[in-house]
Amino acid sequence: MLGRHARGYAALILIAVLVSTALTAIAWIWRARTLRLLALQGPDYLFTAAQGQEIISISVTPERNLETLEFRFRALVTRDPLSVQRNLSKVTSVQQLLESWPPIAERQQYFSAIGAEALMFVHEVPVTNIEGQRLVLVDFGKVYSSLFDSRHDNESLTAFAFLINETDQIAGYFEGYSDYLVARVERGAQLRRERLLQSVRVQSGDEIVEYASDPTSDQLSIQHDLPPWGQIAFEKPSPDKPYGATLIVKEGNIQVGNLLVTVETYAEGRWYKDASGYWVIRTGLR
Amino acid sequence: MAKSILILITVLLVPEVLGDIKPLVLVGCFDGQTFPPLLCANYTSEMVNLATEAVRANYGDEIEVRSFNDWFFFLDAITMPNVIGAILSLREGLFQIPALRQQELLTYFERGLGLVGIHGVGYYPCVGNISRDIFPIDGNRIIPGKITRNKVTTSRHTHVKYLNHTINAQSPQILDLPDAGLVYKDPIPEGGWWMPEEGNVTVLYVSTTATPSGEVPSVLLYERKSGRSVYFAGLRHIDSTGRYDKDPNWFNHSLAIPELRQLLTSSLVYVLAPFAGKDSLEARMHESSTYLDEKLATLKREVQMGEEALEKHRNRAIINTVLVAIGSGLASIIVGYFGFVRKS
Repeated sequence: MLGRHARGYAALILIAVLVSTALTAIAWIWRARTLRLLALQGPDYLFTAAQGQEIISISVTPERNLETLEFRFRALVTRDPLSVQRNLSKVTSVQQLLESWPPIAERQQYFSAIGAEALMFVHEVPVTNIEGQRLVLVDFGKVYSSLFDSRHDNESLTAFAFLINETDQIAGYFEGYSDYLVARVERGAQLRRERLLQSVRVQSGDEIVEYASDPTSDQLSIQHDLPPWGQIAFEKPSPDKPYGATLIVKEGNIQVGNLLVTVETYAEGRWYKDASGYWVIRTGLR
Repeated sequence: MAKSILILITVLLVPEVLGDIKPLVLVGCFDGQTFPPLLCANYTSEMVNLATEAVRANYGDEIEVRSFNDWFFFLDAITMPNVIGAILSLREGLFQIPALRQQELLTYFERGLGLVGIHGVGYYPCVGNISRDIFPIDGNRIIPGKITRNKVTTSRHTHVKYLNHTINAQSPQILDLPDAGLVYKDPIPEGGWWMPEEGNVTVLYVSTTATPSGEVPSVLLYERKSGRSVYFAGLRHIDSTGRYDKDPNWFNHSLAIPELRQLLTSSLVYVLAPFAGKDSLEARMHESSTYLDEKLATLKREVQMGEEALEKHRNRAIINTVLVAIGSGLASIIVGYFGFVRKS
């Protein structure tokens, strides 16, 4: 038999173990358990070779039961910021910047005025492939996808982004579409996704669906079948199974200025920054 | 380290809010020499003032007149259900409005839009079928003009009243207007001017000086299904860039002429007439509210679903936390009892 003191010490140790286990369990319960990033890949250059391919890819796995999981692709093209706003100054606040930028301020104001305000996202994030620079990305894609026909996904401007350098100056401005990949050539003509993408693979758990620009019998069409508005959504994704999208870009020497391609992951309407990618892409001959 | 922010503006998507929708008349005067076309701010501002006065005087304060700087957003907004009309002016450029936009504008025009179009919106290479189905002149040539500030206006066109109509009833028989270009169809058809197959065209003025080969329509009214438009083939303007910035009043060469202002005003009032009356506005705004409510229902559900899922997750975590706390508390009490209280 243990002595009274020894019993007391043992009990004390046991209580300490119980309490620490309970605390660990509570921390485990409250952990941000939603998504695990499996892959995130994007190029620095596009259309620099006559042949070959580049990949833009994202893959995640849910860590618990989710109602929805969504990837939102946005394709933006560069535009001279001085053609929009001639008085550019140092970016002191994001809000101030957006209010002074007509294409953004007008949309924001209009959607509010008609009571059609919904979700406007403003994300300030580091550029995935450029050290030290950051982006302010403004996305009206969800509002547009509710109000407009899906044929507008490569027609209406729904996304805007500022590239801001370390000294808080605007180093670039982009505007674009809720689409997987679009490039604007001269006089406003576009190279659309069916022209730029060779194939798109969408993985939903164990199932893989492939879209192609020139589909075979077991493939779907990039032009007609790919989910509109650059938004690939999954209903009730299974935990611990992979969900992702891989875009294989056709190469070819096309000089269309800088592009910004983004993919953001949303689970149950919440944005997951760590599972999102933002690539500023140079095009044409290196 | 870059900070990340998420500004989530969640709006109450309830019908009561939609009750505040205001009927809109849009004004946009763009220079298509660049792409995307740039807003001619001075010209637009002058046109907004003119339209605001006209709308207020004839239809009251309920209708808002406003402009948008952004070309793409102007094209988006013009097809929104609360927009009842627009003044759209374009200096032609080397681009063509996409077929989707052309087709949508026609659809909304036929459903009921009152439009006043100026210059480039009748130029086929730039606007495609809009120049046939909405501002039906099918223009393929532009008589160029040159306006030299501080010297003389070198391009003037004489416009002669062709038919009497409510729109031009108060306008003079001859209008002599300065402009920087006039759109027409070349060659001028021998059997009469080009006319669309659908709808009714009323030529209000013809230009007698634009081409040596004959007079061409320069102001015309078009009515097609529920839509009404008045098109002005001249009045080309440029004040988006360059030296004109330093002289913001230069464009007043034409808009300062009272007879032209009167003609523009009566055109706008006429094209808006079927949609701007009290009953029509109420019906239209009700329709807009219903439309937007339906369209936004999905978003609303999505927002709610996200919130519910988050709440469900939080509730489950709270229950589990309580269970763990109770379990470990009970176990600690038992251990404490056997360790400190109970005598062996």
